[in-house]
Amino acid sequence: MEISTALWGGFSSFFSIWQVCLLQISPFYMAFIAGLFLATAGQKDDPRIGRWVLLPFLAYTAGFTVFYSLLVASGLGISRLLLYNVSDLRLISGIVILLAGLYILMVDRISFLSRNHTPLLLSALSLSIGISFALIYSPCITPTLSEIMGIASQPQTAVEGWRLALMYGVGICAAFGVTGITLVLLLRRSGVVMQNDRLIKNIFGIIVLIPALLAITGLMRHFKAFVLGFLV
Amino acid sequence: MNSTSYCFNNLAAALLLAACLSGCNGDGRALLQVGEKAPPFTLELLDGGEANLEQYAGKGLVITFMASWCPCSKDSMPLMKKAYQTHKDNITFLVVGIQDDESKFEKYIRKWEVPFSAGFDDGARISRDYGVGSPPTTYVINKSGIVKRAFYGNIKDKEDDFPEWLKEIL
Repeated sequence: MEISTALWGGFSSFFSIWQVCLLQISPFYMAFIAGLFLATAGQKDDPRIGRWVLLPFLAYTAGFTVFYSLLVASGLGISRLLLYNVSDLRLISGIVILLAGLYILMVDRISFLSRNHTPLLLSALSLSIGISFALIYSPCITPTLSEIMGIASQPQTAVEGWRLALMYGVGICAAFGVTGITLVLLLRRSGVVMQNDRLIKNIFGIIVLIPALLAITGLMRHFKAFVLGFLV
Repeated sequence: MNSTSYCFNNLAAALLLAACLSGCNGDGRALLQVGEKAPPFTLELLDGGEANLEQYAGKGLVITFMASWCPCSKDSMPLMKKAYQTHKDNITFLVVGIQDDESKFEKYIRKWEVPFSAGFDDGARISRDYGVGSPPTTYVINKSGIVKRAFYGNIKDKEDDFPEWLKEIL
């Protein structure tokens, strides 16, 4: 399989029937990126707003793709260990997401957080969220991913499969990025949103808490069964 | 320190942390691969019985992990039922529900009138031992309990290959 096929497979899955499965994380990622944007727009008068969006997006992509691809490449030793312990790691991920949601809610209320609200901090937060979302997500196996998993599950071809899975993950993140940045641009142009930025930021913060609570309580499988099951 | 190296350091630290956590929490046992012996399991069946690997010794076994919310699981079921009708005397078919609500999974099995055994992997113990990350995942196991094939995804995409895989374990 070509690298470009894997990349396109990941990207196109976002805009296809497979989005149903991505609903495990996609609305929460949009809430996270929009919440961060509003938290920034409300208190930082920085004309280079792109820096506040682009760096966290790249950090998210790095975290998500590395862990997503490792979970796919089950022929690798580290991947097998990750898969074996994925239940515990999902619990930790839930706690990380919870902290990110609380950050969005509290950043304009706690002066310590406001002072340290920088692109670098947001990038670190986004990196953690990327890793956490990769761990709580159980993907639908698209035809392209099926082929990649077949390659990645064999020890002798696991590294090749991991590279393909990495590109597949980059493709998913590129789709996330396009959608997230479009959302941010729309929010920025909306007078109503910008006038009520604190309220809307808090709503997004609360939305980010949902996957956190689902992962911590182990209710994510019920979310999949009832919400995703309703759609398919 | 520039932002790129900061991000890289964070990523490296996170990878290291994950590796440590994995090593600490697990028993280090390798997960299932083709050519290896299938790990033993005990599964409570939806009809009230119990299934375990030992009882299938001397017979081929197809074990498939599915979820009611997964479109590929739904797509895979007709081919599974067809294969069961062809090979039911020589091969055992087993569906294991994962990452699902138990009642929804039961409804799914009833709706599809699944003619072979089905059970729910409560606590995700079997899927962990078999290294299953996502549904549907199918293992084809021979009479000696050795995994001959592992397939990740919609088995309908392997409509021509799947019957051949079953012949390998007859």
